[in-house]
Amino acid sequence: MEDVSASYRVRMEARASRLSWRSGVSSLLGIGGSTRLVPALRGVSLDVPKGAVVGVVGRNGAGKSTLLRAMAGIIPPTEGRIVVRGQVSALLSPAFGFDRDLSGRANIELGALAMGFSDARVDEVSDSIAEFAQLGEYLDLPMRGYSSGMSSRLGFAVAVHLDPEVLLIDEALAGGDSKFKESVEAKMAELRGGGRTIVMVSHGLKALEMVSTKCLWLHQGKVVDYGDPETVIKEYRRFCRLQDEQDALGDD
Amino acid sequence: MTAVNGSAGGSVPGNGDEVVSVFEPHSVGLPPLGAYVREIWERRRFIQASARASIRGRRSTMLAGQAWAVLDPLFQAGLYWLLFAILRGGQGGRGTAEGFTLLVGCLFLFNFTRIALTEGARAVTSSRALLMNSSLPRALLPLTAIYKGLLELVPSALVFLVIYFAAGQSFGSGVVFLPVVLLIHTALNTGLALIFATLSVYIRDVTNMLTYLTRVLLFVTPVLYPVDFLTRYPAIERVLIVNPLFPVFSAYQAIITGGVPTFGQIALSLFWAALLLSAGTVFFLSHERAFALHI
Repeated sequence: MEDVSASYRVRMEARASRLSWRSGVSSLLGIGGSTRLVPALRGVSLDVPKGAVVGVVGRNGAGKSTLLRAMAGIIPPTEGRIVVRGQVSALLSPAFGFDRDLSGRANIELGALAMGFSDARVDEVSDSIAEFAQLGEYLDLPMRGYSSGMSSRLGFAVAVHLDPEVLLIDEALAGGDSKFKESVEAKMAELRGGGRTIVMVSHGLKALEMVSTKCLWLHQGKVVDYGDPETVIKEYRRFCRLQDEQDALGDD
Repeated sequence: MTAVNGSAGGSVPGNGDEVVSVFEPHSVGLPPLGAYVREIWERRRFIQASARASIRGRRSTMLAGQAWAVLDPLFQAGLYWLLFAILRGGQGGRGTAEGFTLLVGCLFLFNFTRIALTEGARAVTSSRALLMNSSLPRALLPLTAIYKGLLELVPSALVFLVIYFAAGQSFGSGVVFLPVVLLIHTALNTGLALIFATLSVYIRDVTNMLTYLTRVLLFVTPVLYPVDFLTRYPAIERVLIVNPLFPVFSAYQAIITGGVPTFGQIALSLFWAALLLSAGTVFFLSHERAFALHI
């Protein structure tokens, strides 16, 4: 059975990035007690069935990116347990690249090698990635000369071509021009058809409503709602409107 | 293919090729070592490619390009020759060539440790974007620095050999120990890289301190002076011998001067390498899952 399902019961506290000597030393020695803990996810439990496309919505700081990073095994949960079945590929930041002094092609190769691919497979996937990203001659130039759109195109191309069973995408549909957006949508449809599990974060509610089979609404690290995309997004829209109105009232 | 796993569980055997990863709180301890080593081994081509690419990338913007691989050690040797000539007060005579080749050889080998320390320490902290966006086994980063140090050693060794034979010197039977000593040296450097890579994630000042630490190491290790120079100062020797690099470089010096390293030198080197490598491995692996929170 190749099923990809994940059950989460996470309680996570991500640390604030500013470090002091004391917190550095104490966290090194494993003695906690730091008050700088910023809880990003609080007791999130959910189950993502295999082949589902889950859209994650929520305001800034709701814990969306942390959730994806926890699923990818990048940030460990402080409590709870995450089980992921299947090879994960994550596109969490549009700033793809191992070394921006290297060409796009060299970065693609490093990405594939980091996944543990064999040389033959690296050649195979780098050709299809190159074709998809449509960077032309830029592919052999150092990435530091790339525009942000070009970087995110390459990042998306790499993430979807590493043949993941679980794909995590953070704001991928935001970058890129309309022509590339079309090929992104085509590729996403192909991946959905292939029975892959996709978890994507986006502020583009309309697009999410169209592609998702389930929708997760996070607020301040907690699950507000998880279920049918149409209902969840409708509720979320109403919540946003209400909050905006409240903010407007507060300003008066 | 296995997945990168949390410190807690490791792969839960799934059906067939299925990959199951379990992520749990990071305070639980070390990841399963066997699985971790296998993951690193599967990605050995990544270490090679990224070390090569970073050396090539750095030189690609230079006028002399890849020729710097040989020019660098050549200029260094020239500089050391100058230093050596001044140290000897312009005196020629017997022992000059031997002294110079010893100095060049030891400095090239010390360069390996310097790269392991400085690049190893920066390996994790300078890869923030990579760390936040991918779950690849973090030990790949300091290991890449080690591989880079080894790669840089190759053209240096060529330059050294040319000088060595041009000076009319030749190795004794002790040369058979060279691969062994180099292997021990590599293990020791790997341990140092792992330790300082971890330390600098939590305390950024470490990378700054390393500039001074490498300089101190250069002086307390028999690099700039022959090791038997110290027999005249037994008090100093008793202190310096605690330096983990001391036995390794004593062994190197024995080989370069045509002798054979002693059993004591090899055994003590092995002791330090085993100690530092295991300490570094435990230290790095037990903290690596938390790197993303601190970087």
